[in-house]
Parts: sequence; C-alpha cells; structure tokens
Amino acid sequence: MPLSRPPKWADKWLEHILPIHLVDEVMGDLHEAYRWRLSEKGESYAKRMFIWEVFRSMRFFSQKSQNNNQLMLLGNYVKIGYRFLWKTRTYSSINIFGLAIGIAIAWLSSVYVVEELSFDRFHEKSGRTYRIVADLEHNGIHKIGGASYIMGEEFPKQIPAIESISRYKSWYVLLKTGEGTVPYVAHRADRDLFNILDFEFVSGGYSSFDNPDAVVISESVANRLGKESIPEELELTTYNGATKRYQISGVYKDFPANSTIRPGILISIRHYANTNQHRLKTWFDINMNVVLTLMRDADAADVSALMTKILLQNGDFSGSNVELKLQPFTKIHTSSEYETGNGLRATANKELIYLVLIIGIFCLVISSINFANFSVSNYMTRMKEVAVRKILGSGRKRVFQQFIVEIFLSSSLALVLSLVIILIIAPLFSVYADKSYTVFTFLHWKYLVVGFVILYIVTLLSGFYPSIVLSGFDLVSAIKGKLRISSKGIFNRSLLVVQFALAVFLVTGMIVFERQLDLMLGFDPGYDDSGILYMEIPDPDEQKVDFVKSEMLAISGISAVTRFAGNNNTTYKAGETVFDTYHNRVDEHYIPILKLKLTAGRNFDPSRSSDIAEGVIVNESFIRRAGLKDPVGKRIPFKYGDLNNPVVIGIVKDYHFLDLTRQMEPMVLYMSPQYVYQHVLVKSEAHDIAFINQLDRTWRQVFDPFPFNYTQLSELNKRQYEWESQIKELTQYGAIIAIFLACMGLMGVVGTHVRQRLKEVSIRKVNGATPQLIFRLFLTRYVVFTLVGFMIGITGAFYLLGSWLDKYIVRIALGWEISLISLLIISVIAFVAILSQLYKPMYLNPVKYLRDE
Amino acid sequence: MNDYSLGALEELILLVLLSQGKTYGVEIAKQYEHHFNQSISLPAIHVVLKRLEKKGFVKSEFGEPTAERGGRRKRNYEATDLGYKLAVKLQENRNRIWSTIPKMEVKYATI
Repeated sequence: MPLSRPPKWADKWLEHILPIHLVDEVMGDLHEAYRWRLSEKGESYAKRMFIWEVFRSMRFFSQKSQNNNQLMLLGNYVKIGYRFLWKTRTYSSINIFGLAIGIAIAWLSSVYVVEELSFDRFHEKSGRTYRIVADLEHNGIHKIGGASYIMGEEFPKQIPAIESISRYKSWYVLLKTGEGTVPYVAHRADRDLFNILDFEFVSGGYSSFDNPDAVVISESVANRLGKESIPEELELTTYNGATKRYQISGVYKDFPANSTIRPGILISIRHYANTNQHRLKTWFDINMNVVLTLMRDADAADVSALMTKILLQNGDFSGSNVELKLQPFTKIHTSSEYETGNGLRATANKELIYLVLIIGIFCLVISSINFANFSVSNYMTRMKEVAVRKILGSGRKRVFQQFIVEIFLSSSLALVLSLVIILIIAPLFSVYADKSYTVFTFLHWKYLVVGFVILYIVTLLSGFYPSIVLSGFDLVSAIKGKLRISSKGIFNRSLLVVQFALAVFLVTGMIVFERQLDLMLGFDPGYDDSGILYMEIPDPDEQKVDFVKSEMLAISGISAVTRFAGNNNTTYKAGETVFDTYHNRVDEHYIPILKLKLTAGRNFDPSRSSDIAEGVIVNESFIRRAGLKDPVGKRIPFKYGDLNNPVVIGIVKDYHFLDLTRQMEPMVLYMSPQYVYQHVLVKSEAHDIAFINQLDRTWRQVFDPFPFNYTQLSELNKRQYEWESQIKELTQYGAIIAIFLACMGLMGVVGTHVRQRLKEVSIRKVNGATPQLIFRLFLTRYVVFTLVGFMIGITGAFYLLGSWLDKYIVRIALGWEISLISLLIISVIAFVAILSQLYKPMYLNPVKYLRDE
Repeated sequence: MNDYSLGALEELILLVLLSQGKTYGVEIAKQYEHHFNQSISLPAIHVVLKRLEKKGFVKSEFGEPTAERGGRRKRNYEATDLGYKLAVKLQENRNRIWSTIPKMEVKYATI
C-alpha cells in the first residue's frame, strides 16, 4: 500500500501562507498529526482535519507580509527611483512633461469618447427603449426618422410586447419669464414618457398630466420663471397669437447633458390632439417621435415586423415599399442614418468621435515611445548599478521589476502633471466640443479609472522596452563601462519611424481639411449671398407678410426684399420618367436678389396673373432629368397641390441650394400659393446698428410679441460646414501636439546618440573635420528615418482621406502638392530639432572630451 | 501576578506543559484529546503557545527533525518559572472560591 499523504494542494497552500520561521514547526506538526490521525481514525478523517488545519493556519499569513522581502525591495526601488529622478531632474522633467502631454490628451479624448458613447444610457430602461422610424422605398430609399400620432395610439393596443409608449412632439411657443417673453420649445408627450425615462420629481408629480391645461416643467425652467419659489402657473403664447395660462403640476430634475431628450416644459399630447383633429387618423402622417419600451423578453425585430404589418393593413402603399423599424434609443445620438427632430437632438458624429479617439491614441503612443527612448538613454548612466545588483545576486527578473517600478513612478508623476495640463486645456476643449468639462469632471471616479487605465497602458507600453534592454545586458562590459545603446537597433529605428508616420498622418490631415474647407467656403454656389439678411417668419399670415415687406422696402438702404417658402420635396412623373424634385414657392424678387442666372426665358412677372397661377421656373438639372428639349413656353406634367401642368417661363442655371455633400438636384420655382411664405431675405448695403434697429421696429410693429432675429445669409451658408471646420480645427491641434511630441522624441534619440559619440567627434575634429562634416555625419542617418516615416504616414493619410473626400461634389485633389507641403513642414521642424542637438558636437572643444585619456 | 489572566485553553495547555515537561504541538494535541476526549486543531494550539510565549509563561527551542514530520524540526515548549507560579496562583484562587461553595444538597439535586 502506498504511503498515505496529506492532499498536495493543501500542503502547497500551507507552504505559501506560512511565514518562514513557522514552516518547520507548523508544517511539521501538521504532517505528524496527519500520521497520528491516520493511524487512529483513518484516512478521510485525517485528510479532512488536515485541510481544516491548513485553513485555520491562514491566521499566520498576516505575520508573513509584515517582513516580506518583496515589499522591502519595492520600498528600495521607490527610494532609488526617487533619488535618480532628483539627480537627473532637468532631463527627467522634460521626459515626464512630454509624457504628461500625451496622457492629458489621451485622457481628455477618452473622457469625450466615453461620454459620447454613454449617451442616454443613464435611463434604467434605455436598453429596451426604441424609437419608431420608417424606411420608405420610393424612387430610392428614404430613411424617415419619425412616426405618426395614430401609431402611438394603436400600436400599444394591438402589440402586447410594448410595455410603455409615448409620442413626443415639439411645440413652439413664447414663454413669459421673469426677464420678458422668449421663444421656447415645449414638448407634448404621453403619460407613459415618465415610465420610459427616469424622471425625478422635486415637487408635485405627473398624476394630473392628462389634463391638457396642466404642464410639468424642469428645474431650470422653474428657475427662469421665478427666483424665490416655484410658481403655480406659467403663461405661454402660441404662434397663432393665443395666450393662455397653464397650471404647473410638477417640477422634475433636468436630465444631464449627455441626453438626447431634454424637455423643459411637458404637456399632454391631448393638447395637440385637441387642436389638430385632422392629423390624428392618417397612418403615414409622420410629424412626431414615438418612443417605446419593450417587455423584457420581447424581440425588437418581431415587434417592428408586426408594426409594419399593422401599418400596411391601414394604408395604401402600392408602388412603394414601406417598413417600420425600431431604432435603439441609445443609438440615436451617434447615428446619422435617421434624422432627428421634434425634441430629439443627435449631436454626435461618429467620424468626429473616431477622430478624437485616434488623436488621443496617437499622442499617447508617440509620447510613450519618447518616454521609452528617454528612459533608456537616461538609465544608461546606471549600467554600473545594474551590474553591481546582478553581481550581488539579483536576477534579470528583479532588475526588470526595479525599472518597471521606476517607470511607474515617473508615469504617476506624469499623471498628476497631466491633471494640471487638463486644468488649462479643459475649458478650451469644452468651448470647442460644446461640453462643460472642468477639472472636476476628470476627478469623477469613472474618469479616474480611465486615467489609471491609461497610466497602466503607458507603463506597459513604455516600460517594457527599457526594462528589457537594461535588465538584459552583458555584465562584464557593463561594469567596465563599455556598453552603449546602439542606434542601429531595428526596434529603436522603427519606433522613430512610427512616430513620424503618426505625425505626418495628422499633418497631412490638417492640410487636407484646411484646403477642402477653403475650397467649399470659397466655392461659388451659383448665387450671391453678400449683403443679404435672412429672417424666419413667425406668423405666416399672408397680409402681415406683405405688409412687412412693403414697410421694409421703405427703409433706406434696403434695395430688395424677397419671400420664399423653403425647399420642399415631391415626385415628378411623366410616363417612364420618374424622379424626386425640390420645389420652392418664391416671389419675383427671389431670382434678382440671389443673382441667379436665367439661361432661357424670363423671370416671374406679378402683373401677369398667369405667371402667378401657373408659371414655373426650373433649373437645368430638372431639364436634364426630365429630358425636356427647349421647354420654355411649354407645359410640363408637374403636379403639386393646385399647381397642375404648369407652364415653364424660364430656366435658371444650376445653383447649390443644398450643401456641397449633395448632388445638384432638380428644382421647380413657382409663385402659386401652394405653401405659405416662411422666410424673408433682405438685401441691403448697410448693416449698422441704426439700420438693424429700424428693421427691428418694423418687424415688431407687425409680429409683436415675436422677437426679431436675423442672420447673415453668408453666415448661414458657412454654418453648413460647421462640422468640417470642427474637424479641421481638431486635426490642427492634434497635428501640432503630435509634431511637438515627435520632435521631442527625435531630439532625445539624437541627443543620446551624440553624447555617446562625443569622443569620436573630438578625434575627428582634431584630425581636421569641419562642423559641416560632423553635421553631415549625423544628419544622414536621421534623414532616412524621417523619410520612411513620411512615406508610411502619407500613404495611410491619402488612403483614408481619399475615401472621406469622395462624398463631396467639389473636392481637392490629393497630389504631390499636398505631399510636398506636408514634407516641408515635417522636415523643417525635424531639421530644427536635429540641429538643436547637433550644435554641441559641431562646435565642441575636442580638448574637453579627450583630456582624460 | 494578578495582572495576568489566562483564557481557558491557555490555562489547560499551560497545565499540560507543566505535567509533561518539554513537549511540542502534536503531543499537546494528543494529551488534550486524551484528557477531554474531543479533538482540537493544531493551529489553535500553535496560536495559544505563541501567546503564552509572548507573555513569558513558556519558552521554546528547536528540537530534532523526524521522518514522519517530513524532515522538519519540532519546536519544543517548556513552562517557565513564571508559568509555574501563575498556574499555582490560579489553582489557589480556584480552591479558595471552591471552598466557599456549599456541598451539593437537595436544592441542586432536585432540579
């Protein structure tokens, strides 16, 4: 019979937990007791007892860690690390500062990205909350971000998987606040909205929400109404001029900024139903949002299929394919697939988020590489220390640990310093990103975790290389002081190349975005927007609009006024030819004010009643798409409202009424009153305060209490490219930081290289080498790195940017010109960085470095 | 002397040490089981021994390694003079109190 032994694992575990001075006694006793119990009461009892005793021995473990070797060594590492940092404080502080910049940028960008991606997730049921959207296939696929009133009415009755459902629609009103009447967007919703989203009421509640004369408001609105106490009523004026007081039945806490839905004033959807009876029964009258929460076990695809089925039973969709879908609530923020509106605001752009992330990662990688290179060269002075440690018996693992601890120490300092940097740049970034970041945002535990994760990544990224280099060198040469870091190492070189590739990537991006934006802003859209003011009409009463127009024309300085309805969409059908076309109701001044060019025919003439009743002016794209030949004076089969087979009286040259990411689309202009006028353009030479005041007075005379708001048309056009200019700005900052960091890295590498070769340079100088020769000696090898990095960077940039530019109708060419500018920028800066380090060997006094031999 | 107090297990182990002379963990466990007819875990004994040693009632030294211990040394414990005095003192105290307890009579017996 083989000898019975205590369980091996328990024995191992015991050995692990026991402090060394107790091993003999306790382990010995336990083993002896095992034998004793084995002989007396059998194996299973002995084993059970042994395991129990091992478990009870855990109490000795606390004695173990108190005089732990590893812990003592750790203390020693920290102490030595601290002394070394202090000894090389100038060099180290540059090193740490560079890393701090990288960490700060990475931290900032990761907070931004985390925040953007965590949008709307704070609602408890956000995971099973959806919005109804529709895909309509009709001359191409139309993605419609919205639903109708009746869907919100019928779906919950017919689909049991819907837990709660609410309609959500904007309501434009004037709100009477403590500081006067202001335009405000209130929202109409169903009572279920309070079950879908996490509302927190500070007073009152939503129990009387179904009363159409009661509202619930957010705290911020309450504060605007009255300073001291929450008022009982508020006064709203609708856009048809009716003023009414509403009872405030509850006040809730405002939703945080990372919310797509942020209502200020909520009123029951019945309020809408009461005033819009004619819009309640049409299934595909899409003019509001419907959000819903599904039951826990429901499948969104099944529910949307059922919805589509119900929709098709209730409407005639022959000739087109329609499908209802459920868009996850948390996806609304970053998705540009479906439009948002009616109180839902999608502000994020995925590309922008990725760009921020890329810049953050790039900066972190570049600065980590710098840090690694800096550290290696800094620690080279400690080869003797490492050699002594090794002779005294510390293995490679211990030396490795030591340097990891030291690097962790430096990167922790960098983390603290990066907080200071964030303190400075966070307010700037907040303004830029339209967020309210302060340094306290970053001290929130969630983002502190992010910070520490970054810290660990940095320590790993930048710690391994120097630690491996330092722990692994040859003992004898080290102690003789003969070792030097070879700059021939493939790894070292490729790091430099990577840094430059990343910097070049961002620099090229910067140039491309800059040029593309310039191109778009300077692009002639086919009309003249200079000196034109744009206003929105609050009250579409035709008489009022006519009156305001005539009053405005009386103001000196105004040369012309035009009214128009805005771009609308319809389908043109003529036999086989079917396409979507834009149409716009304008007046006779529209074409002259915008200086649109008529290529054939004439402008509208209001003195001819036929022009008003059935005259249209179409653009060239329309002619092309419709395949018309010489259409002026002929009737075309265009139909919209009462406008039936109108006569073409003129052809206008194509102009970009849409932004430059969109193709030139067909357009029909008419005067026939199929739409109310909603916009006014005023052309004037002067835009001074007196003039604006005069305009303001005229406006109020007609539209009071609606305030007078105006925008320069050219400003409005620029805003179309807001996103592009945001991207441009962001890459600009990213590129500048990346170049700065990459140059720091270059300086570090060159500096190390130079210091190691001072003696060689001195001998060369003694033998007659000129500064120019020395310069060339060093420069040539770095030119190669820079060029290889440049090639990689520009290839990557061209590849990615090329596909991005493809969506624009007008786009810059990515050619040698941009490469050349980017090369020039990079090489000039790199040259200066290298030169600053080469100054020393070029002009050193050889005696100084040769003296000791 | 009166400042020292001992837990029940501490006192028992001290008594075992006094009666056995020089001894070690497993032997104490055997004695304990012999006297009280119930098992005891060794770490409990170890902890008590360390505590007694810290208080100065026992002293210890390494003994011989044996095969059944896996070649590990014993640690032999021995009561000190102080330990002896304390045990005597505790026993005297107990006797004094015991003497005041009346003989068991009817009132206990009927319970």
